[in-house]
Amino acid sequence: MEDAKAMAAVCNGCHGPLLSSPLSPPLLHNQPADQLFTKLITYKTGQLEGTLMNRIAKGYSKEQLRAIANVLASTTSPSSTP
Amino acid sequence: MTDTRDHDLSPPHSITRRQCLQAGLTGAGLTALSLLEGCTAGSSERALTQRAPKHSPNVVVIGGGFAGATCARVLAESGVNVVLVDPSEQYVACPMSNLVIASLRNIEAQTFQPQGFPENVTVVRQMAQYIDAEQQQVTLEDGVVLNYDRLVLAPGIDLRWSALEGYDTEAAKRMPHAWKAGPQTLLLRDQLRAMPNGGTVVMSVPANPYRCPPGPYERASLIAHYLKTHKPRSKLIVLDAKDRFSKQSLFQRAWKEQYSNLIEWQGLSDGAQVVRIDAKRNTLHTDFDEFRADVANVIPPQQAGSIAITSDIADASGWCPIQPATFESTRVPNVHIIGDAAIANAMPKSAFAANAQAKLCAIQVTRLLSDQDPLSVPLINTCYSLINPNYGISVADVYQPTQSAWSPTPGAGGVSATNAPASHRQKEADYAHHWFKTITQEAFGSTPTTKQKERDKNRHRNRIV
Repeated sequence: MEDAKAMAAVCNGCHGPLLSSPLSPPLLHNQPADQLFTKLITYKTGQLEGTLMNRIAKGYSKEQLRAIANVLASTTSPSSTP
Repeated sequence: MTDTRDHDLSPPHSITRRQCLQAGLTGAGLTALSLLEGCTAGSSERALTQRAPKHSPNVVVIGGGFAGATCARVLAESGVNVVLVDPSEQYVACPMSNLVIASLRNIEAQTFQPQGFPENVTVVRQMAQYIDAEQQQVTLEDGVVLNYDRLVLAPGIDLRWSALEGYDTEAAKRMPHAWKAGPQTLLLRDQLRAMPNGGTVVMSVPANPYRCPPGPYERASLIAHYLKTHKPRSKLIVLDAKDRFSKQSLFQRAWKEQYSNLIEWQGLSDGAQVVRIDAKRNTLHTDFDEFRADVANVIPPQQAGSIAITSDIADASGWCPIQPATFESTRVPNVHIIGDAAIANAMPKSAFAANAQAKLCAIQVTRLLSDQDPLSVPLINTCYSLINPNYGISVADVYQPTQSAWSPTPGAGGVSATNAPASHRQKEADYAHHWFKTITQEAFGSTPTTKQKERDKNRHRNRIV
């Protein structure tokens, strides 16, 4: 769990929940864990093509992506540290 | 972690009452005063001291940039008392400052007044001068000594004056580096504005490592954009001390496509390494040639911020070796180095990396202070670069902490697709701006203030070079 929190903390660099606009990457908190996980996996396998998420998702195991998705989904309020 | 010493959380070493008073730690931030527990303090000080939980650990963070300010916040959120030492009331951010040079953005959009720190962060507006790792003490400019249980060192970079012959602080007034954002950024912008159409701009780019590996090439792109738009008969010559650089194929392809005859890049094997600067003649010398510039931008060699050098935390390379997972120095115990000053191997010296390292370092320091094993988790970096305002590219990577290094993950990472559609280039440009907003909000707790904008406008109005 602590590992997952630490891994998920860096997502905010681009997906910061503090400010969002139509031009920003999608917000991650409050999305269902399964939905986030599925999306991360499709980036990892290349089924879905993003600007850079394919390059990032490939650096994590399936288990790590599941753990990250769970942490992000459980982050209910915008904060610098999920 | 090979450090097996006990983590002694008893009250820190005593310091003199005079030093306590000199510290001038006033106001709401006093919860961190347990730092001064060793004092024979007066009643008000004692009362304030008692507010802090007994034996609650103290962490001193040196440097209030992307790494330090972020780390201070995350540490404080986990309940650690933090003293953040940085002399500056305001921070002028480097990422996006190439847009300022190209007259596409105002410097006030780069300028932040760090605020909104948690209560248990005490901000000390002093320059930290010396770290005594054995005594676990930091001496500030005014002689005050701060004790720490653990120290986070995030001093950023210093320019190595005269490492490039002829390039000193005087030369920089004529030939700006603009590698620390602020007046130098505006100087370069204004020189470009004053240059006649048909002029020659020359950039000198150093060998690795230096702050922001793709930065010089984004700068070349945006200067070219300015020249193409305002002074199309001009030329930009980039003299590089290396042959390969970050996102090279994407940059060079885009230069050809967007700025055909405007940018001329020469690398090390072309003999283009600049070896001497003649500021009086605005001339850059290589071993084989000399380049007279109408506007010159000299990005000099760099090293870790001076306190890392004087306190012997940097090694002979000028940068600070660390144990990857914890960022703890391999030279001294209880000192963690993050951001540009650290040797993080494959991780570049970028604001994104600094911010990512800061968050992990805060977690590791908190764990070590409570005798928990440090985590071993990957980190990421993403660096966006702008070719023009609507054309962004990126390099991203996932790094694993091995015993000796932060190493890229096989099969992951890389640069934007060579044949990405224009919509992706636009998206990456938008994401670059969003990233900047997010990361500055996270580190500095503020967006650039209106008041600040007004002040800067007045200060810089009619500036003439």
